[in-house]
Amino acid sequence: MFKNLRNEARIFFWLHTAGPLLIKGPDQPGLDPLLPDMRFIRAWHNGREVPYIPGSSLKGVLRSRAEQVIRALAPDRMVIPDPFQRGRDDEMKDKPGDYRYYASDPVTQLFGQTYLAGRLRCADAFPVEDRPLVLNERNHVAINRITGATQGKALFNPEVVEEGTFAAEISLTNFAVWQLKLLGVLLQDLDDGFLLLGGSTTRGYGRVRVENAQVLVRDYRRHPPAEVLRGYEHDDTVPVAGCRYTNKGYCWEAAREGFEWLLTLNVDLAETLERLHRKQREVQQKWVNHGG
Amino acid sequence: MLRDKPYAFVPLLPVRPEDRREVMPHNRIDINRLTGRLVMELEVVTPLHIGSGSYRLNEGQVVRAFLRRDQVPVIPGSSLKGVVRGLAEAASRSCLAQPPGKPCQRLQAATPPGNRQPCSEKAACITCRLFGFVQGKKGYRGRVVFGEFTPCDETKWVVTELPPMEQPFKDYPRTRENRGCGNERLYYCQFYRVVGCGGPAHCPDCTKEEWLRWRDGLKGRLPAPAFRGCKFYLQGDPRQGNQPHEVISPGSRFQGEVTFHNLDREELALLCFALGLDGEIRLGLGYGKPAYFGTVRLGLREARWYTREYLPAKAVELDPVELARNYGCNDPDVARNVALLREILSGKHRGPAWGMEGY
Ligand SMILES: [Zn+2]
Ligand SMILES: [Zn+2]
Repeated sequence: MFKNLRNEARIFFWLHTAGPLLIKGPDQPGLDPLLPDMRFIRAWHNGREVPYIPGSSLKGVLRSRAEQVIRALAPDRMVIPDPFQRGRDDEMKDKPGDYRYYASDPVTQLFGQTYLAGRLRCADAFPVEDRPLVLNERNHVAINRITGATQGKALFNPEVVEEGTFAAEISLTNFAVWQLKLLGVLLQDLDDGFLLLGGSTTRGYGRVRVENAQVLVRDYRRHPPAEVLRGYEHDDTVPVAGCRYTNKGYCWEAAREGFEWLLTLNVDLAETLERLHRKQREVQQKWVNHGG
Repeated sequence: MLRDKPYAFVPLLPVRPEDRREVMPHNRIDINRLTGRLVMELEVVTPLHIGSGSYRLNEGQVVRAFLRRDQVPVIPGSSLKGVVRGLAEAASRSCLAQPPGKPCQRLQAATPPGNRQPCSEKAACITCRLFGFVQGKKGYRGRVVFGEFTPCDETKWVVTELPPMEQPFKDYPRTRENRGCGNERLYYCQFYRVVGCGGPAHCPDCTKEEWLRWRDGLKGRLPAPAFRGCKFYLQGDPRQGNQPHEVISPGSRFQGEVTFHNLDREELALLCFALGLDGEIRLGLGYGKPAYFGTVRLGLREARWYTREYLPAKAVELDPVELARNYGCNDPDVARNVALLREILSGKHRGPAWGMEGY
């Protein structure tokens, strides 16, 4: 199925720390004893080693929030499998691509699974030039309840980003309109602190704000869209007032500021899940009836 | 309460099998449960020091630095979480997440039934369900998130001298059988069951010498040790010492948020109680509690429920302050601990001044 590129959305935004952020790098046992025992993850970028937010971290929290939202809204009979659940690979591996897509649950459709490439990608987010970047080492100790005193040595001393702004990008290829709306919901929860990034989140780490967002939509089909957003499917179109496309030669392109407008897209998420569930059962049924 | 001590103990409560429940999975927003945020203000009552682990040079003097984010003093979520969790443990039938000292044969039975059995995903006490737990390689992330508290307005630290704090749980007496068990006389003595010392309220009356004499005399029929409970420091007038620390002055205000996910009513009530939202509990934060430093008061500015356009609208008629006030009224043992915590932490019952006998 998704051999043809029909549409694409890219969301650029800044993740600005609103509290300490802790994303642990890979364990490096026996390295320099003067380094903190839990170093913030770093990578080479523009010739320097800098702290960054891996795309996989961002994608991971978005996925788990998407599961929480979808489970709250999905019809009872719809199964949203645990991403680590084994066994589906075997069920899916010999099936054609569009079966794998439509027979999958909505979370897998968007975020992917070993047997299915997701439509959503998160790029690594690197520090924005000329914005403050402050790192620091924090201490954690355990207090014993019976003695009221600190217990033993420090629990851990992580290196954290106290202040930083990271340029993030999420891209969706061949998206459905409901997926963009859901992404708006997730970004709102992230900006609002109901979704946190990195580790030790219940201890006050990982609060970020979503700033400076811009959504770029591209439509690769021949006819220009008019103040609408067109999903991959032909019947998946919603009006978006003021959304004007310009001709880029190889595609139509529109850009909009902010992510909040995604939340106002005229899509009923619960209804959509109901429809996806019907479709899911339909393709499974067809497969069984026709013996594959 | 112990006489002339700056602290008191709140008894550990037995944990019955029915007190442990399966944990609430993190995999959904449960619209039948409570999700939201408490927006709070924190007022410093006695000078507060939260260590950053580093030192600073102040007018030629090396001082312990207050934790800061960039240049702003902050109260980390981890500090608040620890203190609030401790209060929740004392005010409920909860497991003892961390017994003090090293594993010690003598203290195996020093806690009430069910208390020491670790919690699991299938059977977790209310505190572990709220704040999470680690069990071997597995664990459960709590459903309460403590944000970092930042000053409401320009807050500066001042340098104050604190007295040195002693490690309070040193083994005593230092016998082979008591190795790793800590200070028996203060933490788990039950001699009053068999000798006429007058009971816990009079324990400071028995001197170390008397106590050791009793102990020798009781050879062979020493009463089984039992922990007095969780230790809480009373509040009083801060005592000066000679160790310079950066502190935040009384009257300073901080603001921050506590976010909760998918709680039931009982869990939210315990959280609200342990935050001191009823106005009767002030928390002891940071360093120097034995010297009456770090008393703070939390107040609720606003409770915000998680509502979203795509979720079915739900009217929540719960008042967090009311929940805190009524917490524990359906369990007499819990109610007794709640009353005791209010007595110790309201600030009305002042701790003894320094230098008093037995302090
Ligand atoms: Zn427990
Ligand atoms: Zn005694």
